[in-house]
Formats: sequence, C-alpha cells, structure tokens
Amino acid sequence: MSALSDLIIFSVIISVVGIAVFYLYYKVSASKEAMEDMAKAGGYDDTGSFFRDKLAGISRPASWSAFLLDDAKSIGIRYIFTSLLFFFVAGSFGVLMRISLTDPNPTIITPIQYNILFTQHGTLMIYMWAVGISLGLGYYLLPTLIKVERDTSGTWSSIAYWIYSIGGLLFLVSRSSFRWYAYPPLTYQLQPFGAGAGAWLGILALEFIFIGMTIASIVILKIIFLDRSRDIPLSRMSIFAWSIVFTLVMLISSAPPLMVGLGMVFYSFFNPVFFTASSNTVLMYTVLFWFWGHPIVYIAVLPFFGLMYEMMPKYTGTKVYSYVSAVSALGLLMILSELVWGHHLFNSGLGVTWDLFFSTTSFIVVIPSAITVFNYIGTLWTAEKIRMTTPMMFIINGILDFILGGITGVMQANVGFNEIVHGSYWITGHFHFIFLGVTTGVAFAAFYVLFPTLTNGRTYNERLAKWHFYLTAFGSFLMSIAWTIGGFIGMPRAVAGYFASYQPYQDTAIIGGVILGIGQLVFLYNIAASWYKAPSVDTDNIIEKEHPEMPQPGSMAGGE
Amino acid sequence: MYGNKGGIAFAVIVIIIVSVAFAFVLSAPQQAGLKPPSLINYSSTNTTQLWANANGWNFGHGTTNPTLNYTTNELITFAVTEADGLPHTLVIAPGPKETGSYWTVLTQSQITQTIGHVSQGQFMFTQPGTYTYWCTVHPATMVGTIIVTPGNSTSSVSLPGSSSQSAIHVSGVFDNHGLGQINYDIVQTINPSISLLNGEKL
Repeated sequence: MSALSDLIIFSVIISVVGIAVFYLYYKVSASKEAMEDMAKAGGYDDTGSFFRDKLAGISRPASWSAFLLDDAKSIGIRYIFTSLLFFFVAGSFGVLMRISLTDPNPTIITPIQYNILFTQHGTLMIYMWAVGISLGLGYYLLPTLIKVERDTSGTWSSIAYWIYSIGGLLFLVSRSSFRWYAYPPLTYQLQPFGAGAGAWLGILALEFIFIGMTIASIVILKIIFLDRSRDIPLSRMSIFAWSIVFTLVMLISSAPPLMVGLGMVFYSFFNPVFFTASSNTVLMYTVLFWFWGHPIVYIAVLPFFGLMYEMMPKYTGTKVYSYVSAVSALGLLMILSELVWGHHLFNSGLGVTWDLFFSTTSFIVVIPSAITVFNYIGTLWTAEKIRMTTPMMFIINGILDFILGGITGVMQANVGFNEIVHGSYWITGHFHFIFLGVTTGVAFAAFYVLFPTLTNGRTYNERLAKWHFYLTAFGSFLMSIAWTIGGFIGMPRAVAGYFASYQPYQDTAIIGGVILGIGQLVFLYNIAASWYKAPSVDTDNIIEKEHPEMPQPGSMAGGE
Repeated sequence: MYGNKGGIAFAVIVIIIVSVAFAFVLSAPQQAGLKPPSLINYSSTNTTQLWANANGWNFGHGTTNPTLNYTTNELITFAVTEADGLPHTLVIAPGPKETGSYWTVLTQSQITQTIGHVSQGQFMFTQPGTYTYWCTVHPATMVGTIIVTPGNSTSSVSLPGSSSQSAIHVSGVFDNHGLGQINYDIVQTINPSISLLNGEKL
C-alpha cells in the first residue's frame, strides 16, 4: 500500500470517528442540559443527587441514559452490559482457539496469536465478565433487596466504572501474551516471543481494572452496611447481599498484594530489579499473585451462589432450606479462600510442610461447598412442584456443573494427584465446569429474570432461550468433560498444539466449544429480537418484586 | 413498528467490537526480527570478562581499565560482572576519549545492582581504529581503550554448537526507555563502519 492510500484511509477513519464523536457530544450535552433543568426544577443544585434521590429503589429499564446518570441502578446497567460485551469478545476468542486446534500442529493461527488469544480470553473473562457481572448485578439488585435509604457515592461508582472499563479496553489493546498470571521474567520480554510488545500496557491495564474494582467494592460495601434500610437487620438480610459482602471483603483484602506486585513488575520494565533470578526469587511474584489469584476464583463464584439462593425459591415455591447454614457456608468459603492459595504452587517448591497445610485447607473447602449443594438440594426436595423455566434450568445445571467441577477440584487438593494433573487440561476442565455452569449459567439466569425489567416490559423468546440453555449446557459439558478426561491422561494445556494421540479429546472439546459458541449467538439474537417486540408484561421481576421476608431470628432453623 | 432498537444496537455493537477485536488481536506482530545465528557474518568469536567497579573496570582483577584488542568482524561478547553494587553501564564510541554520542552495549537496567550478577552484551567492529569504552555513570574512573586491527574478511561461520543460540538471545536488550519493543535485529547497520549487535540506537 502506498502512502497516499494510507493517508486516504486514515482521513476517512478520522472523519467518520469525528462525526460520530460530534453526534455523541451533541446528544450527551443536550441530555445533560435537559437533566440539569429537571434538577433545577426539582430544587436541587447537584444534578447527580437529584436523580439518585428520584430514582432510588425504582426498577429501571436499560437505556443509554445509564451512562449519564450515576444512581446505583444505572451503574449496575452499565456494568451488566459492559460485561456482556466483554463476554462476547472473550468468548469468541475462546471459540477461535478451539477451532484452531483441529490439527495437532498449529496451522490455522500461529502460536503467538494463540498465546495472545489465550491471555485475552482468560483475563477478560475473569475480570471483565465474572467480576463485571457480579458488580453489575450487585449494583442493580441491592438497592431493592436491602431497600437502600439513601443513594450517595454515585460519582465514585461512575469513576470506578470508567477506570475499570478503560482498563479492560487497554488490556485488549495491549495484545499481551503473558496469560492471566503475568509471571516475570516472561513479562519482562517485551517482544512477540515473550509477553508481547505491549505487555507493559497490559500491566497498566490490570492496575486500572484493580483500582476500578476496589473503588466499586468499597462503595457497594458502604451501600450494604451504611445505607441499608433500618427495617432489615443483618440477620435477615438477603443471601445475595451476604454473598456480595463476602465477595467484596475478599476482593478488598486480597487485591492489594497483586496491585503491589504489578507495580513492581511495571517498575522492572525500566529497571529489572524485582523478581529476576539474580536479585530475588521469581517465586515471590507467584506468591503475591496467588494470594489474589485464589480469592478471585471465589469472587467469581460466590455472588452466583447467592443469586441461586435468591432465584431458586421463586420456582420451587418454598423458602431456602436453611438460611443460617447458607450464609455461614458462604462466609466459611470467604475465610478459606484466603488460606488455600498455596495449592496453585504445589509443584513450585514451597516445601512439604506448606504443601500439607494448603492441601488440608483445600480439603476443608469441601465442607462449605457441600453445605451449599445440600442446601440447594434441600430447597428442591421440599418443593411440591418445580417450575422448569429457563432460569431454573440454568440453575439446576449450575448445581450439576458445580458438583462435577467441585469433585475434580477436591481431587486436585491431593498433593500427589496434583503432581499428575498440574498444567494439564484437567485443570481447564475443572474450572470451566464451575465458571460455565455456576458463574456464566447463573448470570444468564439472572439476566433472563431481569429481562422484562431491563427492557421495560418485554419478554424474551422462551423457545430461543431454551435453545440457548440446551446448547450452552450441552456444549460446556462436552467441552469440559473432554478436557477433564484428556487432561487426566496427560494432555498439556495452554499450548497451541498437542500430540496426535490426544486427537479424540481435542476433537470432542472443539465440537463442544462450537456448540457453546452457537448457543451464545442464539442468546445475542434473542436479546436483539425480543427487545424489538411490543411491551407485553409489567416490568416487575421475581428477584426484586416477590422478595420474601427472611426468617426471623427465632425460627432460623429453616426447613418449612 | 414498536421501535425499541436497544437490543439491536447492543447486538450490532457486540458484532462490531468482536470483529475489530479479532482483526486487531490477530494482526499482532509475529516476529521480533531475530536473525538465526547462522546468518550473522563474522570471522571469529571472542568473550571478554569485565568487572564493573566504580574505581575502574576490572579493579582488583588484574589490570585496571585494560586496553582491549580486537580484530574486525569479530563477534565480541562482553560478560560484565557487577562488582560493587553501584549502577553502571557499558558504552563504546569511536575515538580516543569519551564523546556525547555512543553505542550502549549494556544499560544500567541490565547490569543490575546485585553483586556477582553477570550480564552479557554483544558487539562487532567492522572498521579498524581506536575506540573508547566507558561507564556513563563513572566516566572519570571507568574508561579504557579498544584497539581494533584488520582481521579476516567475513565468511559465514556457524556458531560452535547449537546451544550457543542462547548467547544471541541474551544480547537482546531494552532500549534506553525500557518501554520500547526489544529490537532483535542482529547486525543493524547504523554507521557503515560499525555494526551493532544488540540493536542499540546511537
């Protein structure tokens, strides 16, 4: 291409972007003026607090104005749709990675491209999808569930949202290939065979994401503890609110070590004194990382346990089997999450003593997990009739996948067994069971439940939603089980190729992954098509509307 | 019609962003410009051990600030050992004394301030003459002379043993800002007289 054609393309892009930006600016400033007038008419000087007071606790449909308003529900809408967007981006990366593995040798994409897709898929899915949708549902549902009395700190939430989103975008732009660990010294190699030329931007982007998440966490904790309605004591607070509390306490307490670690990594781009083999041990970074890296796994799951407790009784017609055990199991998971991080480093040389400690604590995680599962089963058991709607099917599939992923997880807690499956597809299968079944599935369930509210009274297409469920559940099961079996036999993960003897497992996983991808296309089509229909139902949803009184302190034993 | 195109807009945004993300990520640079060692033209190899000490190069290890003798087209590996825990660099310029412009063989970041750490940088002279090597942090004490005499003409000599590829890998360095992409262009011709092995800019 000549310089002239480059120049022409550049000018066209600049013009189109410029027109789009000007149009947006025009729309935004017009809306802002209108909103300021409304606030003035309402007797407020500050537009933000006028709308926060006006909209507090009212169920809100999704609209573009969510980006101008900063009441908790608007912030929630922003997070929900941003995380859905990143889910589609990272998910399509995942499907492309699967398809590229049709041949044992990397033929469709190069190993460097594979590494970039791998890093982007993992990091964006965890930080931008799992954490994003948790924060979004927290912001969106909590004002109703705990009947907030005042909605302040909207500016902080808005700032946190933008920092977080820009962080996600910058991470995508960085095209880094250091996986989600950013382990030095690989991260220091700013070239395609190492961490990618933009890895420094990736580290900065991660810091952005962390700062955004931390600010948002502090604001939500403040909403729960200080702005809650006086009528709702902690002992009767919704289980979802409790799960969000535990999640955010985990986030705030474990994020700082990695934020510091990433800062040291960033400094080392200028002067590599940290985590280099000659100065201090590389293992130190892995400790800093996994002190955060294990809690984030629970952060991505706990809110969805809470949501399952929140939604399940609406379809069974019973109360949650045991409120106290549900909350205490989630609390125990929070405490244990900080004590088990060493099981990611069984093969890294922490020593037998520490290995035994972390192995023991990892086995103890079975107790709260089993309490949670039996609580779900108890809730289902006491039901006269279970309405098998799409959200309920996602929830039941989530329980199944959590049992499968949980059992594979317990097996890994054994130091000897861990030696065998370490770095194999077994691990991938284990956490995809849980992330696809619990995190993603329950997030979809919540999205379907909230659909009439978000779309101002439209219903999703039940048939397409069922297809979405079956394709997602079957595809994710096929993919994860193929990985688990193949990994047990020794198929190494995180590489762009594989030995031809693993062909059957890879092929099965590819079929599963493609089915999963098609399911999400159905989902996207369903959103677009159903939203275009005429409003047909009222805008209430079962999570917010039919919220039951939690049991009184006297009758906490549950079990109706 | 009913009119709410919010979902359609969302789907369109998703499709656009996913496509752009695909195109952008898949167009990531695929190679670092690393030339295989077999393509470098040099006549022989030479490894020079240096101890970086603020009192002078090789202070306490034989002659302080030794005069180094090389021939042209000789692949020189400088193995610099941090001896005193202070920051040092290794730079080279043509002429008998220090100048304002020079080639950086090893940066302050590479010679970490850890006593005993060995960092390696590679260099090759293509023109005979007198050169100066020094440390930009301690230019008064750590300065010495390099005398380059004409050597054999270049013929493609393969490196001794395939394992020596790591020697070339080690030579890749950050540029002065640390943030740029590592340039692995071996034998980058900046000046017709001198080729630089680690891609350092003048």
